[in-house]
Amino acid sequence: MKRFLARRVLAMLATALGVTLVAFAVARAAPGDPVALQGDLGLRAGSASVQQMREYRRLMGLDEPILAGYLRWLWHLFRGDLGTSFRDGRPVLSLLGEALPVTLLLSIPSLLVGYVLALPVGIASAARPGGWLDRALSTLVFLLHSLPLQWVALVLVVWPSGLPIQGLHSEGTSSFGDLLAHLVLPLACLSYGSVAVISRFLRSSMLEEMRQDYVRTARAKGLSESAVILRHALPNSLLSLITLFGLTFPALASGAVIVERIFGLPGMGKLTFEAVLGRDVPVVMGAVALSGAATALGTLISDLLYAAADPRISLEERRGWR
Amino acid sequence: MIRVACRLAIVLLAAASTRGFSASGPPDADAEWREGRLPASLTQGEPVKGGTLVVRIDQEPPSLDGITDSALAITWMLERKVIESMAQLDAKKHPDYPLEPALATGWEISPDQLTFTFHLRRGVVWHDGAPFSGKDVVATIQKILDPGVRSLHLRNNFADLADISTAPGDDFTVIARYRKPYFLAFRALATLPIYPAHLLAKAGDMLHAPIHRAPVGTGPFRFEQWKSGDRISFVRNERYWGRKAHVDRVVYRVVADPAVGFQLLKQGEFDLYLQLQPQQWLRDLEAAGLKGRVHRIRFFNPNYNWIGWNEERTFFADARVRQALNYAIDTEAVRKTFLFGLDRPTTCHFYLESSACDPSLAPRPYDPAQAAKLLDEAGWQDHDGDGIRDKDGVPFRFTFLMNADSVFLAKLAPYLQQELAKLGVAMEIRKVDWALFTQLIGEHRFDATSLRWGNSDVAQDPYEIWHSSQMKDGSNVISFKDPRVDALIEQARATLDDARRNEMYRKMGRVLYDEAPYVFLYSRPSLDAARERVRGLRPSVAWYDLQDVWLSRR
Amino acid sequence: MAMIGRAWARFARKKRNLFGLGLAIALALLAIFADFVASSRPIVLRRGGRLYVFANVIDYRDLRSFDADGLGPGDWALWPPCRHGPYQIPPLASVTGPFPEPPSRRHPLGTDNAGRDTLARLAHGARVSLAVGVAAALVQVVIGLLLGVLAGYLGGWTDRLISRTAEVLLSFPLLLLLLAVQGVLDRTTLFSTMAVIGLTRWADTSRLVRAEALRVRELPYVEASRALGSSGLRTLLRHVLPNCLSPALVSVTFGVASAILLESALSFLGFGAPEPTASWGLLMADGFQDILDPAARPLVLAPGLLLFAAVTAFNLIGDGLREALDPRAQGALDPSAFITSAQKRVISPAPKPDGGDPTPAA
Repeated sequence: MKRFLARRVLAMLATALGVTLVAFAVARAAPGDPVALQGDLGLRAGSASVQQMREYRRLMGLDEPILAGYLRWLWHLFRGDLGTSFRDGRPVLSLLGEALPVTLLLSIPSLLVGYVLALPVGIASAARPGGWLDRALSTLVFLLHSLPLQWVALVLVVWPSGLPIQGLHSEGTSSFGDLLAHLVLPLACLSYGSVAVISRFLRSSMLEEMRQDYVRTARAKGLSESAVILRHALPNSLLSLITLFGLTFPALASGAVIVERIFGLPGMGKLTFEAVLGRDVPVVMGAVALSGAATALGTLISDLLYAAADPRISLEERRGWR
Repeated sequence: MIRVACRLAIVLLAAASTRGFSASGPPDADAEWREGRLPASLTQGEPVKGGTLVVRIDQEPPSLDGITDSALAITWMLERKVIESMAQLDAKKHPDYPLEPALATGWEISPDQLTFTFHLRRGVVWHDGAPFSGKDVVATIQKILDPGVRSLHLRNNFADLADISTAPGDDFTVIARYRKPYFLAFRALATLPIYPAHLLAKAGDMLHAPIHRAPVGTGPFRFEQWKSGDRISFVRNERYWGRKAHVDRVVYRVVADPAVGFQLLKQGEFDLYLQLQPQQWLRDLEAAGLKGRVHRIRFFNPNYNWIGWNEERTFFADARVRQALNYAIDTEAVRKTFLFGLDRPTTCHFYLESSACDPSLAPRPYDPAQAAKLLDEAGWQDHDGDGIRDKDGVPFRFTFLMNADSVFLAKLAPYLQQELAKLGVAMEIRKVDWALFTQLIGEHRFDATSLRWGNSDVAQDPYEIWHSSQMKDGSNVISFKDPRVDALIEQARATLDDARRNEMYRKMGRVLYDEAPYVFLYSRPSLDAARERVRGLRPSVAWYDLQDVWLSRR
Repeated sequence: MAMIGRAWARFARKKRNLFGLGLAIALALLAIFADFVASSRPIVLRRGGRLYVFANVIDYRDLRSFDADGLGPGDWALWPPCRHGPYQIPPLASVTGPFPEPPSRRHPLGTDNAGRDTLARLAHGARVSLAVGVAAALVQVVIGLLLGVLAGYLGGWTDRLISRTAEVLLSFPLLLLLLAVQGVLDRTTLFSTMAVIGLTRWADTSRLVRAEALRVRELPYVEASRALGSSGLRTLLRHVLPNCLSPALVSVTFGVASAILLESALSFLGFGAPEPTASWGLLMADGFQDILDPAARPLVLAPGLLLFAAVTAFNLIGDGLREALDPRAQGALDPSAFITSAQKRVISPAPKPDGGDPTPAA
């Protein structure tokens, strides 16, 4: 167990180093000037724009070699300092600190909604595979899965639903009900896709379980079908959802650009997106580091949970990849 | 400095508002709606105190620090309202915008125009309670001149400043001496926003100082709160030295998406809505039943769109080719269809109806035959019969660089491509994001492109854009080089008399017209909307003076 | 052969699968024959005694300045149902605007904001969207198959290296890479979009393939083949690779669906194909700018529906294929889809604020 953990953590570190190094190199080498970020000053009548860009590059430390810059970034990271944004000079940590809660406010409920809605759908489909309910639900799930997100989001905005379509709260109010109302449409956008994926995943793993011997035994014992499903097949197939959880964990922290931008929510997606567009290297790196950490953590947690929950899986077999 | 500029401007709005006040007897509400003028009655009546003015902005500024950042939104939110300068543009005197006293009560300019003396207002306090004095002015300049601060956009204006200091024993007199006479020197210094010395001293490079995001000024509004990505708010400064603001608070709400913003406007969330899309302004407001509930505002700031041909490329070195390309574009039809006829055509570098512009220079008409003739004359003919003109074995094939965000260019570029194809010129389109766009433009790595220049003052110096010395480091991105233009620009810089300088600029304009380095397109209006209850609103090149605004409680 | 027949029989058993296949074929036909659906030139034209066949596809030099109204007596033309090209902007001086125009006789679905016919752009957009989807998926699968098989079959350091690389790619912001590519290439073309999508997503495929390769490696007959002294490469090519084809095939179909969605998201952001190309994502983005304008409704709805149809079709096929090729599987959605959609969130775009030109002004 200890050996497994050590190897896992080492592998995670290697991946994290790889991700951050590549991200740093790409962010620094990507053409385009962070100066463009200073509002519209990149090209302004009446100021020496090129000279200005040069000066800004110097002040931002962009004339330093990439590897040296990366090592410096790592060293600062090691000391818990993610640097400051090129855009507004604020510490990257506090930018992340502002954006992450907004994103979590969206992603955790949307994941919960996803699991809660997906469970009955998945169970109902698996109960009678090929039956009319399964067919109807499968079709519905397929349709949901194929809907382009940006389209859904904009249709919801234009649709006169009476629900708020912007920000997290209305002018002058900060009640919980108001916050909830503001979350409805973004959550709808974020949840429909996960309902589809999770319910299909659940359905397939339940069907897998129902072919197992122990289910046959349970049936042979004369247990009712619903008892078989709910008491035997379901708990075991929930295991597979753990894997899925590991995969979704990073998404929790990385935010949803489309939804955040359309609904004006200042979360991680928007932050990352704007930082990338503005070549704001420290912020990009902060976001990459955060999502890298979330990925690694998610994988580790799901590995451990999986191993703890299912003794048949040996940790050694699962090392390395996933 | 940003607002340095010439006398050019706002004749247009002047013309419009004159009509509004005096024209044909009773004010014609429909004409006002159509033209986007605010009814004169809105500035009359007894101001009411109180209320919150909610303003929609489409983009959050990077900071609230005009020393390090020059985003338009910073200028709008802060200047005159939060951070003041020694003198300011008189927003009521529309065409000329002469200076009026602000933090200075008066000033003297030496006859050689090299020494400026400002007499500062006494008894002014900063928002944090500290007293204001000439030391603040000096400290602001020093901060701008500090090479460790990224303030080049301001620093360039003070390149010829020899020294600036308070008078011995008198902290309320500031004396500035210049090395060379320059027509914009006084205006640049007088309208420079002044920051508090006691906070600048601790501010370092500004980027990490509290005042980078929480400005402290002397103006009628004081910074309250900035919720990132959401809103920025200011409250009335009760200790303001001048006439206090009427509204209690001003809240700027950031709503990036235009469709979302419009929905919120319909729901009555905004008192002042900035940057409507043309079709929203023109059609949707009325369709949504908002006529009567909001007023439309259409105001022209000094700006113009252009298409530029990089003269380092062999195709565009010949003036006949550039003229031909100008004839190949139906600019008037483009204006009417793609831009809904809201923009105004221009052929001038300066503000539309400024006397620096020569009104006799009409836009070149759409004339494909003339275009073909000029191309033939320049030697660009289809020698090999492949449908594309060529010269010395080089086909006329170039790439048009555009910024991926631009809605207008997304229509103009394919139109240009289609028109030029008919003429036997092959144009491809390269679309890049803004950061890359600015880099490519700055390094002259493009064949042709289109952009818009703008200025927030009516006075401006064309040196940066048209002087041949500005090809390397300045904004002469198309590498335009003409000794006549160089000479005129240099002469004008040392000419302090407005009339004589404008005469030089008109001459320059004629050379530019013949050389056709740009296809001059249009001046773009700001398309805003104000809710009915908003009173005392007045658009100007200095944006809106929100301290004069009150909310009617009818 | 028999295996394929059995797989087909299993595939065809579900009407849903056939529906997906039919839909995909219909869209593919639309893409291939877009010029016969909408073109500014006739399919067959007789003019001045000369016959021009397939003038809509072949670029006849004397038709370069073809004017549909300039037909003389004795001339005739056979037109496609929609007489507009996808890039054709009407002569601006003669139109009244404003754009976008609502649906009319002349433009059954109206026009976009530059006066181009929506129906024509939709038909030709099928070509762009599907081409990007298919090409990107192919790139993804070829790389994924190769690396996945190597990782699974060879194991050890090769496996670790490939797995790490894939992990790095999966947690990398795609948009950043796309912007880098955009600056390095002189012009962004459809090709660069396809390549970037494919190159960054092979990890999805290689994960599935690797698992299969791991399984196959341990099968008795593969071990026997090795024991009989056939070389590693031979075993790999003869036994392991063919077995891995079915996960690859499934992955390619799902790949098409998600690449189409990804392209639409990128186009939406302004990082798709350059003007004047008409991909569905780009059309939708154009429509979004005027979303409140009823005249623009078809421009928003139609590409969205087509995208929806295409994605549904390929997802259905993928699901059907998986069931058909692997009877044990019971049709989960592509498990990698979740990662995909998570990634999509990080990179995918929304319309720019005012969409206007940032004013380089003061």
